Amino acid sequence: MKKTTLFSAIILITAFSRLFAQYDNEPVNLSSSILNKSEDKLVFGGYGQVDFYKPFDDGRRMNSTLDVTRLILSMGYNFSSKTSFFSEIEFEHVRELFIEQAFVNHSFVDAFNFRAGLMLVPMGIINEYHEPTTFNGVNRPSVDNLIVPTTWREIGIGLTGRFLEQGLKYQVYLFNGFSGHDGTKGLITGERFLRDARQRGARAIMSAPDLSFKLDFFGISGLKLGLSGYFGQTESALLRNVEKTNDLAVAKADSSVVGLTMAGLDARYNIGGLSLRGELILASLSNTGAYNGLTGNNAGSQVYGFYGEIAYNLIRNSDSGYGLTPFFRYENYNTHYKVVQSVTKLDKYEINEFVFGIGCRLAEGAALKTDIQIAKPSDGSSVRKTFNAGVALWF
Amino acid sequence: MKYIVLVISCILLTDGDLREEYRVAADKNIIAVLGKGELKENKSIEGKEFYFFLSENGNDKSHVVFSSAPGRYDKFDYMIILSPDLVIKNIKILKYRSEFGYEISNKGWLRQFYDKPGTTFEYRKTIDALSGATYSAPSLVEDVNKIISYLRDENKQR
Repeated sequence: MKKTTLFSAIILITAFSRLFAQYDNEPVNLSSSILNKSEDKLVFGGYGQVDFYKPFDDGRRMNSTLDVTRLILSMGYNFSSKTSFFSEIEFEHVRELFIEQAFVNHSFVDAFNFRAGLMLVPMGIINEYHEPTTFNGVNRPSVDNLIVPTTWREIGIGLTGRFLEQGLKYQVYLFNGFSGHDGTKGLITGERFLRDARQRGARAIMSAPDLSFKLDFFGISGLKLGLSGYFGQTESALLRNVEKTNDLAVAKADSSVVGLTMAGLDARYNIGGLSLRGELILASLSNTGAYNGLTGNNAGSQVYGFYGEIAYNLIRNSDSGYGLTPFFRYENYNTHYKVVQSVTKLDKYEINEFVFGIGCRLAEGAALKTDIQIAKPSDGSSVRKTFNAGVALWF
Repeated sequence: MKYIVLVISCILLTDGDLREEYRVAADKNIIAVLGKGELKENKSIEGKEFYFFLSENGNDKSHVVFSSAPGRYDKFDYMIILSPDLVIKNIKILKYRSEFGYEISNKGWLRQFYDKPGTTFEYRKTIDALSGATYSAPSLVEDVNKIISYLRDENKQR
């Protein structure tokens, strides 16, 4: 009994000494206690880029463009150790305001998380990792702009998990699809593919969800491999109040919908100062005969894009903290790889692109970039040449 | 009274105790790297928990440290095993919360820290940059250096 009392007394003393110890510290005011709390719960961050574009052509005079291409403020809140919220509010070209992500994540275990809200569709490298200090060059790769319409985000629900030991990550989602028709015109074209058909979670219409998945493997040092897939149908405003018995209206609405299958492979490898990355995206649209017939558009039925990039950090061994990374990227993409018979195949939609430049890291998360971008359409029409320079930030 | 004492002691023992939280995974890892033995509490600094490992035959006196370091949007927890002369033998990421930077859990990448006596690690120089982990990787490097420097100071004082 005595032992128990002694034991209890020791624990009580320890407890009180720990409790009182809090008061030994500097006085706590309201703002510092809120800050301490926010350290745990509320998280802020952001990224952005401010750019200069100078097209050049031997025979013409052309204006340059200066643009705050994007500025994003991200905010997260940890409700508990298992439940969190993440959001990104984006300003594009100063005036355009978007919500880029807004979703809640609930983690049952590391390998099994549920999430719902406005999320990024996992396809290729850049759509998920689009912060400007994570890629070389002022502009995102064209394949990740035209073939994968970065930033591609829609409202959905999904499951995701990681197996750290095995180096595996999976994501499976049901997302709302693209809008193929806004009620007056078709939004998928040969020239811009799916870019104008993104609904971005803004009063988006839906008839049925699409399936999206990505598997990532990071079990080998320096290597990251990804396999992504997307399967579904586009949505259409023509499906509003269509009487099921009205054959003509049903046929018209059906013609405004295309099926979309997209698959992607991506790889990144870092060793020493050398970094390599590559990506291949294949997409297939079904029903483009009826769709193009209805809308007068010229959407291709098969589309592809790929790129390979090599970069080397020249001053990785200096103590300065600076980085100086020249890079070269070759891209090839074609939004008219295959077309249905009624559509004239346009060779100008196959483009060979060469980008070479240099990035200067000022600090982790802040860089200056400059490059030259040369895009050659396969029909022999004029080559687009641009000098780009910009500031890239991520914090 | 006993119950109150029990409750208070439970709070004290579990509050912020990384060792307690990851006991199963950590013990498995310690046995794999050092063999059987027990941990003896050394000290706790800035949320880092320092332990001595005492092997069954009593010869070994390695260090086992549990720590948390900031990732981009959330901290991550890890453990590190060092030999008595402060050479890293193993690092294991126990919990990675954030969406970015989980690639640091890659065993091959972590191996760059192992068996390098007297080194202060430098991200990109002695430790390769890691795709997708632009924040967590340098953060881990910094935290590991901090742990080594604490232990080095302690060794000097003896």
